[in-house]
Amino acid sequence: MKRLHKYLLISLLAISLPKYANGCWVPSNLPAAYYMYRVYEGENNALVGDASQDRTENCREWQKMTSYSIPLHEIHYVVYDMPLEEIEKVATRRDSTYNNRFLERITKKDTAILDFLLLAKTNEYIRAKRNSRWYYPLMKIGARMTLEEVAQVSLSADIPALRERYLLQGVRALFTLARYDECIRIWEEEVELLPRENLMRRMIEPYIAGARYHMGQLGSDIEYFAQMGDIESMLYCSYLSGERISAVKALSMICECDPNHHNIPKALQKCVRQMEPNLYWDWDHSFTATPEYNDLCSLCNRMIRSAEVTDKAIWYYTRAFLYDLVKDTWMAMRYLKLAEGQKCSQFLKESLKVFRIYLDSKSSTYDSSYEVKLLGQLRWLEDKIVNNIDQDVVLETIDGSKLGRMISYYYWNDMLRRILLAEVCPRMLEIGKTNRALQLANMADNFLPKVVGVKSDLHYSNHFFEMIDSLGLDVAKCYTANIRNPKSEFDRYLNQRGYTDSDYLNDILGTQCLRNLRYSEAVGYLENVSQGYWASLKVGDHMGPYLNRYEFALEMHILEKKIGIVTNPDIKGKYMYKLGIEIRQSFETHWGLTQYYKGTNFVDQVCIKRDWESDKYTSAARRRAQSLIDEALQTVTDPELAADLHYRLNHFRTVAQKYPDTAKGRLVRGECDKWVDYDIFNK
Amino acid sequence: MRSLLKFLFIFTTASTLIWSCTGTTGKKSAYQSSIYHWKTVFSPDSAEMAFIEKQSIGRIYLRMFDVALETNQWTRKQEIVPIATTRFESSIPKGVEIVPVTYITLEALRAMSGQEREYAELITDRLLAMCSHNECGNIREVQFDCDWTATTKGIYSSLCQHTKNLLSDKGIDLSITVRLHQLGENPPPADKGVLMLYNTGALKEFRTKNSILDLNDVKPYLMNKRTYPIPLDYSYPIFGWGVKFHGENFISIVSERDSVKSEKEVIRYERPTYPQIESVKRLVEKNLGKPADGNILYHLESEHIKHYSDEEIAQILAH
Repeated sequence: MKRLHKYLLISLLAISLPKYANGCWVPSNLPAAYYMYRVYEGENNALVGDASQDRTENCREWQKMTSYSIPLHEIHYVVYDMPLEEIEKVATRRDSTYNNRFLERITKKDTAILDFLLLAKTNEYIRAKRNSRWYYPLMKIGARMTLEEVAQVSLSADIPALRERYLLQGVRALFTLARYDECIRIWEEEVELLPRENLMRRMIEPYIAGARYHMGQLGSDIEYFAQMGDIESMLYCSYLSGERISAVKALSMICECDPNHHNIPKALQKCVRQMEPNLYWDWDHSFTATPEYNDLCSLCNRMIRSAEVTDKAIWYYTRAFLYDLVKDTWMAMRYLKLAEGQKCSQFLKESLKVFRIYLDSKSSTYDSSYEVKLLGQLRWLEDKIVNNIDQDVVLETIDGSKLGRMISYYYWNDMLRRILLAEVCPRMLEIGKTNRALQLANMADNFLPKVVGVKSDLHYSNHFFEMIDSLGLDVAKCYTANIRNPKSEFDRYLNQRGYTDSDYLNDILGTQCLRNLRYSEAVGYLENVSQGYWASLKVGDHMGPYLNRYEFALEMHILEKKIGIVTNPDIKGKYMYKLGIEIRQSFETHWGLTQYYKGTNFVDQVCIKRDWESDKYTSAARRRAQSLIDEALQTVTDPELAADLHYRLNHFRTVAQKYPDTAKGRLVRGECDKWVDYDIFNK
Repeated sequence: MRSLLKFLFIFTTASTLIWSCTGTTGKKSAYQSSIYHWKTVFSPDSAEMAFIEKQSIGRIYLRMFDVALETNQWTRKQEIVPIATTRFESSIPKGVEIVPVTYITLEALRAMSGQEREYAELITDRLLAMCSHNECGNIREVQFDCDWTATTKGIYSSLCQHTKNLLSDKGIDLSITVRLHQLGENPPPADKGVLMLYNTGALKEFRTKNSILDLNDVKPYLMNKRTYPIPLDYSYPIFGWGVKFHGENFISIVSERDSVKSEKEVIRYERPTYPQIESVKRLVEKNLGKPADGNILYHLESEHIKHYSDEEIAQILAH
């Protein structure tokens, strides 16, 4: 029921937010949902948790075969996104020039690749048509080759560099033609001889599982794939047979066949990843031990006890991770220590180190000695982030969508964010170390974009902004002061790794001053924001007649000063009236002058967003506005002016009663049937 | 002169005869005795083959597949797919024209909203591919069967319009089935229709006398003479079944042969008699006119056709 409410809330937000918010709001993960468990080295270290792993790997192989100067996304477009018709046109116009460097290469130099891609796309096109439930023999396919021809050309292709790829196409075509025995023959004669890590072999394996299923060899196939350590094919076979086995069960079978099988880390990672929290929509997620979880714990225990297992570290680490999932930090630390005491690969050592930083952040007292330790740990993570960046990470960071939505894509940066944003910052806030929490959140949000050299679009929607915007003016001022005068090495370290643009900080501080009705102070901050910065902001709506907040702050500051100086009651009253109205407007229709969003309080990231409609700032502003207006009405002495002010406030009854002979009084009385207020008064 | 008179006499007589055999449009008559084939396997037995021959059945309305909404096991998404595709185990009898028919469920129709053109093409392609693959001969008509309602009429009309456009390029007509309750509405775009004169009553209602055909159920729809915007043929039932009730609650449809019931169960056996069919036929033809192309029997099944004499069948088919 609670979850239902949350979905309802999300739905309502989805409907209401575009009306008010400055930026788009899209569902996000939570920092705690970054994948942390890491034992499988075969998976790209940089890009994690991506379902398109094989595709990326495939693109890398094409890159290797052609040129490393060709970006992966250009290869990806041609290999995966380009429709058959388009590549057919390319094949007939090889002399043309293309914006895509991969296309250029395969039309001018590696033309065998173009021929292959044409065949592969034809194959997939026909297969997609034939696999459709709508397909009926003799239905028009619209391809230039038949599937039989695709199979024949693929299997007879004699280009060593492309042989394995042609085999994949051949098997796919034969499988669709239900020539399962030939698929198995090709597997046994050629594919099985390829190394197990070979991508083409991995891609062919499911077809062989399917072929064996159709040939009635399924039961033995699960065992067969267990011996090979191929969890994917085992699960596929079990799916086909209808007797589904869990990934953990499949892993157990692999371990029974060979407790040191080189594919165990991959299978293990698959199992644990399924258990790691997915907080995309499920913000209430709390882990509960499932039968699979219990099975995996038992398997870990068995493997730890087994004398045959040579790599114990991986099992201790996994057991520690599983303890952490059920929030048993003490046992998690105990098993991590046991893992750290085992011999293991450098790769696993680094995973253990990340987990150590994470568990320290959960279990340590946040005193000065922890800060020293944390600084060292951050330096280590920083080193990993800087030294493992590749082009894919750069492109993803420039794109920013995964970063903004907290979707795993770069292990080292993900871990920095997960540990700081999900563990350290909330605890720092709890114990009142708001400045440190802001510094750490700033580093978590901005370090990678800074290293990559990206101007992030997230500065007004990330965790750091959320914190500084919601912790109050005093905290924000303290933070900014620290930027200018860092007190410790840790301060300097963190400040250098965060986004400390003075325009940005002055805007935030000035806006908070406006929210606190401290206009003179606001002018002090906002006058330091450059014109270029104002122009670059994607705000401007909901600011009424003002181009930016500085103009507004200045206007309000001048009004306040004038009120203090003038003695003429009518002029003073007019200024007071204007100030009151402007204050009210700046929290209502012109809300963009005092806030960055007009949402409501929803759980988003680290902090709870302010309840904009009725928080202390809005209430105080409303009271101040009302008091100024009331005072203005009492101050003015000129009946025409008084009537005019009452008229603007829709006080028609007062205008008609107290100022009947003024211009506004005559207007109200003359139009009495239109003014309900006055009409009621007359009755 | 005598020879001239003789020529005029012969010419006039021949012209009258020819004219009498054509419809009001002047188009050559296509009167045919037809029957529906509504099974998943096309394999007429000897009795059915004999029936086709004896009754000079010139056209079979052959259900090819149903279009339904199903959950894809892999993606867990709902998909509009062809189901219960007819398997051809026999070849088409010589000289018999095939009209491929597809039944479209309401759920599938609703799900097609906005994609009518795409599905018109898929359905048409599949029907024609099936006809071609199974050597159904020259196809001159394709039929859609759908129990559309006022709320789904828009989608169905769009689907029919797209299909009609696709078929007219190939010189093929689109026909649609018309249920009695749909008679009051303008038909969706189609070249012709078949008025279904069966399943006229409430099957699950215990007090229904005969849900397959009852003159009293037909009468409200055909009180007066009326015209329908597209040419209509009429389809009459020659089948029967048992309707099993537990107390007054509907349980299931059962076959007449092997229906077993417990003490509290009642089976209502239904099969329209020839006189009942004939009385409905008279009412229909009186108020809607003669069929445009002929009468159609529903459906080809030796278990059912044996309940009617050759003469009775001939009379039902007669126009």
